[in-house]
Amino acid sequence: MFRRGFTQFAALASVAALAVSACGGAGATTAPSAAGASTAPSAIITAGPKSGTIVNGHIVIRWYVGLGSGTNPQQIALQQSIVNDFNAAQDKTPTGKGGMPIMLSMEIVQNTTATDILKTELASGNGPDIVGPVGVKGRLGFEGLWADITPLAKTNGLDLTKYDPNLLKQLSNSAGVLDGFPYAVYPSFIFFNKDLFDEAKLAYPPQKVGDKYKMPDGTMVDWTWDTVKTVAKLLSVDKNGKDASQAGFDPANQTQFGFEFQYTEGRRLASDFASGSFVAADGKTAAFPDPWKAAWTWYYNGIWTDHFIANDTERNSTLLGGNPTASGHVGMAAVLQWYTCCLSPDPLKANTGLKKWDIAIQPSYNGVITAPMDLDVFSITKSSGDQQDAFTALAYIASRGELAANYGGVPLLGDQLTFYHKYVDALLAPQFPGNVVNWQVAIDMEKYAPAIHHEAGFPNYIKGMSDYTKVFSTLPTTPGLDMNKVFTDVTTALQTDFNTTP
Amino acid sequence: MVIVEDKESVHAPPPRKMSLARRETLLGLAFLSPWLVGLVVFVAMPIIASLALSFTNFNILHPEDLRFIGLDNYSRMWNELLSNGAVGQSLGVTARFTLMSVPLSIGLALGMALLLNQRLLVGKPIFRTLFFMPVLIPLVASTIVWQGFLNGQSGWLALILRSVGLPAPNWFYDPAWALPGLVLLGIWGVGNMMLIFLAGLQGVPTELYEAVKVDGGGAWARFRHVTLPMISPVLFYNILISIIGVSQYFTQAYVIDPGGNGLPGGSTFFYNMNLYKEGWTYNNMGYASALAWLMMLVVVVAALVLFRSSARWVFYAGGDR
Repeated sequence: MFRRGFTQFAALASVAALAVSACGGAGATTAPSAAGASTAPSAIITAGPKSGTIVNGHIVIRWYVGLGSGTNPQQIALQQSIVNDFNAAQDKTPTGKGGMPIMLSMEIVQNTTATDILKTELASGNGPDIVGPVGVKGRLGFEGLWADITPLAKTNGLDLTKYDPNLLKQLSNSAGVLDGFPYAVYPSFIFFNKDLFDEAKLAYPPQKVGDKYKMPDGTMVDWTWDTVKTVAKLLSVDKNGKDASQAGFDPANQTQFGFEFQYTEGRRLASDFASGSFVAADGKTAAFPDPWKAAWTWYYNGIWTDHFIANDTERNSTLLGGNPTASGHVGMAAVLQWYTCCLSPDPLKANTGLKKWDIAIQPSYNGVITAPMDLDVFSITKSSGDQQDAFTALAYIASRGELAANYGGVPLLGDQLTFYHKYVDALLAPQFPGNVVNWQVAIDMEKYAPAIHHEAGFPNYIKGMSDYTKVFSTLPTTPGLDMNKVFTDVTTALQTDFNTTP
Repeated sequence: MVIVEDKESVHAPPPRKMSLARRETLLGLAFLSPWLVGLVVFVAMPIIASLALSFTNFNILHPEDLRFIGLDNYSRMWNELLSNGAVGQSLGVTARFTLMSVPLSIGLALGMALLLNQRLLVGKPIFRTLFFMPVLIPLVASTIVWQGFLNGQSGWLALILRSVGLPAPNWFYDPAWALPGLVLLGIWGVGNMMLIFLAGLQGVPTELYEAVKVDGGGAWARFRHVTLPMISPVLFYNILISIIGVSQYFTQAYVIDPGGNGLPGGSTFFYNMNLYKEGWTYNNMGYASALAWLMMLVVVVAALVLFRSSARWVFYAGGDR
């Protein structure tokens, strides 16, 4: 009798263990790996006919989407309508080679596999013509394989002198060739949850450069990273209602966090403090600028010592759901404009977590404001069978401003504030009914973009990126690190990579 | 009457009839041809190509620069092994995982099979189905679910551990616990192995157990002297398959870190992550091919050692192997 009971119990216990595991629930969502990449499910449209071939009297031009933004259902629908509009216009008034109409064909690939698939297509001689939108980092992985945009733009009568020369420089490859057509910018700023500020009876962060911040005791202080730290601690709350500045605060049971670097990576986080690079001016020596050390230390202490930033376990818990800022449990966050893509699980429904929010200026470090900015381009592959017609199609795509808003960005040229109100507000209105955002802040922050782009190239770029990321990833997972060793590990790994540049 | 002789028909040998066996062979090959073509084009040729590419500098983005570099890739691999570079680190992670995962999953699968083989257990088909079910869940989906289950803050395991006053590890976000976390994830899917063990257990003649009973042997003696020797071929097979499986381990670690860096802190940087990184991230397909061949060599050596040792511990009832 006992044996039968035990056997039954053991079997049931094992099944229960398996079932509990199965029902554990996925608390985390995966962070977008590139600017604007969406967490929404993506449709896949596979490669069409080979580029430059003639099909039914049309010149085929292929547009590859997935290296950056452009793969969520809303974006796909808009992109497809743009393709349809272009093709219809071409059927009426052909502008392709030899008077033939151009047929634009779109290929959508999920962001996680887009790089591998593009490599395969290029290696097999079946590459697309247009690739984009794609950021600086995404393009650097294919350096040398993009066509020079300048002569193509000239032939098409597009004036590139309208663009900021510094920006064009940042978009050029290491040989100084502009290999992407500038399309959209994604400025950065401080995102803040108004409801949490109201609840803590704290003043909102400043929205004009030069404005001071009013502390709870009424004193006016500069908006610096030190100030952010103080405010963030006040916004970090445990289950007993104590904030991180109070004695007896329980960091193991936090219900709210004061700050987050949303979907960040090591160089962007560091560039929030100051412009810099992991390579010294000589172009071959690994470096770790002092302000970058300060930024990493600020971040690390914010997680493990001051407890106003969530560690990776907390970020992926059910409380923060892998998307801390949008969870409604984070007071402030350093974000880029593209993050507007990911504020709600359903972009067509009112959000249940985060409700009232606005944006503020970047804090200063040593009296200087630095606001990292992502830049998206459309590029044309060198292997394109018809670069000129590809550029004609590219120019049309780039002329459709509403696409930039769908990608979470703003066009480089034109009245940006009007654009924000017309397109970005329209996209966000269903998610945050009645919420008003001061977009002038984002426009103002463009002027504070770092001189060196945070994703700028260095020797043996892809290998170096992996190696420093490996070290950076330990910051939100490992308490008790010796930060000086962290900095040494990064520079040592990078120097080895620089020295072994293929 | 004129008789016209058809010379050809007189002198030509009678048409040879294809034998039935030959016809059946050809027909069989014809039916098999889609699979054979697939095997040659998608398996055999890539294997041969990867061997050839392992002696080249093939870069997927610059195929035009392809050239023969002899054993350079293999010597680089050797250097990375000696200097504890990426090869050494990734082999270390894979070896640690193997040492943790293989014995645990074999032991657990065997334990579950023994449980299901109990005469006294009621509802065996239900339990069998339930134990096997995790095998049917796609790896990516199960890994995502386990990420939630093992979350050190809000995961169910953490809640259970805390409720009994035990500390909850951070599993996939702690370099020290990420690998054990993957081991746990792996043993969830031992249902397949369990079924193979169960089949082996059901083939053990009951008279052998009765003989042990008559000799006064208990449960342990029955397991040690009857069950284990009788299912040793199945045990051997499961160990071999587990080692091959571990040598191909990739998906779960990649889901945890799609960047392929083996996060956190390289603790899940499996050999195949390194291979993937070299081939697809750094574009060094020639070197990645060499890495693949090294792993094949390691698996072949491990299999040979296992086969050699099997003479001492694997018992085949018929006497033949």
